[in-house]
Amino acid sequence: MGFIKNTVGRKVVIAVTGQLMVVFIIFHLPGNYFNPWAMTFPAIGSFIWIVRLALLLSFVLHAFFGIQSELENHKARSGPYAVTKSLSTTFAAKTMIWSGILSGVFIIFHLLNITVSVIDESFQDNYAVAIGYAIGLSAVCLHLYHGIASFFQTMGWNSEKSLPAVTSIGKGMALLLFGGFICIVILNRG
Amino acid sequence: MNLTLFVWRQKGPDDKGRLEQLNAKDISLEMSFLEMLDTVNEGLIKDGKEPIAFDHDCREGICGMCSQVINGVPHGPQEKTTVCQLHMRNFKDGGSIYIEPWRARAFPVIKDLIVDRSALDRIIQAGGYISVHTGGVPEANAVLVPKEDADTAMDASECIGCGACVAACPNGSAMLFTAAKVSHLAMLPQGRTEAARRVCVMTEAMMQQGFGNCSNHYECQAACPKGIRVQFIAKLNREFIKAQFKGACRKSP
Ligand code: HEM
Ligand code: FES
Repeated sequence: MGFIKNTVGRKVVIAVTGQLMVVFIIFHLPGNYFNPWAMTFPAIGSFIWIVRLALLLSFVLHAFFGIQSELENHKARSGPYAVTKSLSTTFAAKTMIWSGILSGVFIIFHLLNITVSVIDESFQDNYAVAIGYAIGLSAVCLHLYHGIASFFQTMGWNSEKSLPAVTSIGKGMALLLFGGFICIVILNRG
Repeated sequence: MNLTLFVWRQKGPDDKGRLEQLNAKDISLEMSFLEMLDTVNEGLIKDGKEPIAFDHDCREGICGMCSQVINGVPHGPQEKTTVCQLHMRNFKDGGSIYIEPWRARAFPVIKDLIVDRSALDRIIQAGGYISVHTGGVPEANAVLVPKEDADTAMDASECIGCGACVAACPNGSAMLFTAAKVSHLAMLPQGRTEAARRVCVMTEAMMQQGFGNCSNHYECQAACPKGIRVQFIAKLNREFIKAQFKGACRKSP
């Protein structure tokens, strides 16, 4: 059985591709504030296409393996308990599949809206689009609230001492990113 | 004390099963949870009814047989305690208690609260051992093991294979169990030689037995009666990634 058929191997693929997208988002945020380059990418030769291809591949692999493992996890349960009590998991962790799918839909919408300009309504002029952005950003934030910290556990870069700090930093980053992006929407509404 | 119990009753693997309401009367606070069930069973037998079937063996918290989800928590409300070591003073007089079996596809119910946990044994059979003969007790200073490594291996080896981690996991994953076994052996020189192959075959076996994938909810750690930490899962993940560089997962066993 190879790497991508193994339960841990697939998780590593989900984690690395997810984190690549997070790294992109981190660069995407300040770019929006200081300089319009982030909107269109730096046009340094073929660099833009390398980044786009890497992100596209990440997106596809991440969504495929994410959905596949979720389906398996669903099958591995044998019906619900009459009484359930969560001791440590979070709402964000339990809804990864839904926040993920919503993020995916949002990203596709965002690309059609800004990059390809097929959807010709901007959040600056249209309230419905602005609300759509707010919902999409919330979904991404919820996904990363669990995802960023989870990445470090999946890669094994975690110890008994570092786990609480990694968890807090991951949650903090998700909230910071959300705050940063939602401000763009709010400020530009005018 | 008097209690209302809602106990999972299931005649056999093919029966659908249901919760049955039973009364537990005159229970002393000093009784263990299993002694409380023994008392209820005596009453049921006297009335000519079928007693509740539940697993137990050592009753001292070391065999891992007593598999019951009590009020939604595997092994009940007290941290780091097996059902057999749980005492009735942890419950309120007049309260109700829900008692259910471990629920996971890899753990089919045999009867009432008894599940078949042999899927865990099959994960061990796949690679949770060392195949070199180490002979008798070695001379203490022949192979030196750093104190921290010995301690970590000892912590991992505390796993009693009860399956509470699986019962608690929203994904029905046996990752904490597998990680404890992988880490325990990988920390020590005798186990180190086969570490790469072991992590591959044991994680594969985990999937084949129908357990789910870990997605870092950490419910397992909270439910574990022996305090096995999720850092062992991080350790398993590290071992797995290291094993890729040796190509250890490509060869099927
Ligand atoms: C179609 C869209 C998406 C779907 C269906 C999806 C689904 C999932 C699922 C099910 C998981 C949990 C996997 C597991 O732990 O077993 C996950 C984890 C994760 N996702 Fe997504 N996701 C999507 C988009 C995104 C995007 C756009 C990002 C980044 C901006 C992202 C970042 C992450 C990260 C960092 C993790 C944590 C990985 C780990 O647990 O180690 N995801 N995703
Ligand atoms: S009966 Fe052995 S651990 Fe509870």
